[in-house]
Amino acid sequence: MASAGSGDEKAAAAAMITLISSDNEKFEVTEATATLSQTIRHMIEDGCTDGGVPLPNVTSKILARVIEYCKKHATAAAGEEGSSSSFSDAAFLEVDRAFLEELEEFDDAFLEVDRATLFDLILAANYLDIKGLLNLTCQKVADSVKGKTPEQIREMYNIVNDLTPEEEAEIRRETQWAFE
Amino acid sequence: MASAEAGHTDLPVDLLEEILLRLDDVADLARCSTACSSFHRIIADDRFLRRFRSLHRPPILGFLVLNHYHDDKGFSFHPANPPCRFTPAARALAGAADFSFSTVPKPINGYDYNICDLRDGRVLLSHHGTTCFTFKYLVVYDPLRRCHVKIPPIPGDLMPSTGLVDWGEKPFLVPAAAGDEKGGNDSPFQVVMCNVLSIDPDHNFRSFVYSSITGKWRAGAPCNIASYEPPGWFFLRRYYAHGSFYWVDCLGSTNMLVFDMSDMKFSVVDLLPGSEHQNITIAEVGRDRVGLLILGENTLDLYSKAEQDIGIVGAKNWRHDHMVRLRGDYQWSFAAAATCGGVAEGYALLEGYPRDEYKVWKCRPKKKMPPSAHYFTVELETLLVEQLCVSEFNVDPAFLYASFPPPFAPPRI
Repeated sequence: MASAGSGDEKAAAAAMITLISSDNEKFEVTEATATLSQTIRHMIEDGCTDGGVPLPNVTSKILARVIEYCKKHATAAAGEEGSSSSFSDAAFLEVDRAFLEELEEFDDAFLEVDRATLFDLILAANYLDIKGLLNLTCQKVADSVKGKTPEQIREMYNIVNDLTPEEEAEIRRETQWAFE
Repeated sequence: MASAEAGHTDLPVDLLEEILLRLDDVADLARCSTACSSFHRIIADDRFLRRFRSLHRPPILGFLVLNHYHDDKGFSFHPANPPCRFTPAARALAGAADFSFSTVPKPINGYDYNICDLRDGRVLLSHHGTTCFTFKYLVVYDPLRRCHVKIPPIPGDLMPSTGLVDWGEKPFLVPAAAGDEKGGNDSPFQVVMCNVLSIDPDHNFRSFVYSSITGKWRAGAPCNIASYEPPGWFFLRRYYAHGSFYWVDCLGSTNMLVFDMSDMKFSVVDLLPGSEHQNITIAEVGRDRVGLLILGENTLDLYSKAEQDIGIVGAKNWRHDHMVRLRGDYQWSFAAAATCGGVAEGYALLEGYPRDEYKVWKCRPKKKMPPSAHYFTVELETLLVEQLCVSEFNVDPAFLYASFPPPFAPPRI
């Protein structure tokens, strides 16, 4: 190191975490962003993040999306905390609602991905233990089968029907009301 | 390219479970279970279904009526009908369940059973001919599984020496306290009996609670409340919300009698001032609030109060949550406002008659068939009003029946 930075710079540098994707791409993120993941939070608490956090289950393409999600939600959380002390109740509620609306819009746009990406996001959210992202992505898949027939569901998700005709008839008989 | 896309089956079972748990409508769950064997295995699993039921409220599929005034008809189940979206599920329930209670053995004197209460898909039946407070014939019935369990009489040593008569008295059927839930298939219940209508000369209110876990009755300490004089049974409406029971005098009293199961004590608490001459109903709202619904000519107002604030005097802590306007061309009432029923699982039941037909019928009731009643469920947190069914005119208490349709309903006994 040529010269020591100022104290502020050091603190800022200390609060950065490097995440390494399965294809070896490095992502620098703030601790606030990274700790939306319970998995990474525990690693930070255990002091094992020096030299970067390898994430062998997550590709750079998916990790970039996950970080995008965490950044937005970490900012929103910080914004809410900051605003609570400096606004009157009514103004706070107003700001609060604006935040929520903006977040909702962000989430909707974030979910505009193909099915393969959506599943990869579910797997990554589960592996990184990001509750909000797991809920969001699983709900998206659940919503997509709303009102669909079993045939449509199979087609949408390339599911092979491995039930025998007898089994299928039996299950359908039990739940005939759902097909009327 | 579709074939290059990942399929559901690439996800591990626990994540498929997470997705399936988030289906709102049980009909979607049913259709998913016929998509492939791995979906079916997950959905048919008891542990999964218990989780699903803990996250989603069962839909209201209809209501049960005991036709006091048409004796030949006995019990009748009124399922949801079009355009209600639960019509097919309600039909499936009606087809699978026995709402005539035919498998319950009839007492020797041939009298039929009476519905005392209905909650969580279970019915509490008592025997019409019973004249003794100990209730020799008290039965909890699961209409879908067609099985029943007999509740033993209240043992003599718990009873006061002065004889009590139960004329008009009806026990309640309520879930056992949340802490008692063992997570097994059989959700425990309690039967609660109070002597509100047959109070003894010393003016002691008494309570008796039967628990399906212990299989035993216990008695609360007698509470002497000289200031409360219950009206006759016809004028007393009773409600249950979050572990407490409420008796409201519909002759216009400004207070109500409350029995709180947590300390087994009775108390008299104030109603919302001004609500005493209105058409009201007490109901559970959300996790811990007690709601007061006030039905005006074409409006429905919801006030609520935190459960722990119930004893606080006056208007304090009553919060006005919502108001909705009801259709002006209907004559509205709470279904089953008399004595009991009509509120369950987060819903209340409204009865509406087309105003024109109702007027004509009221003038000449003998000459004309009464108009069909239109029934509407009211979701208590949002006051969302939705049509449940159209049914013949009925004047008897209606008990809302909420249940997941078969095969997703749990055994209840």
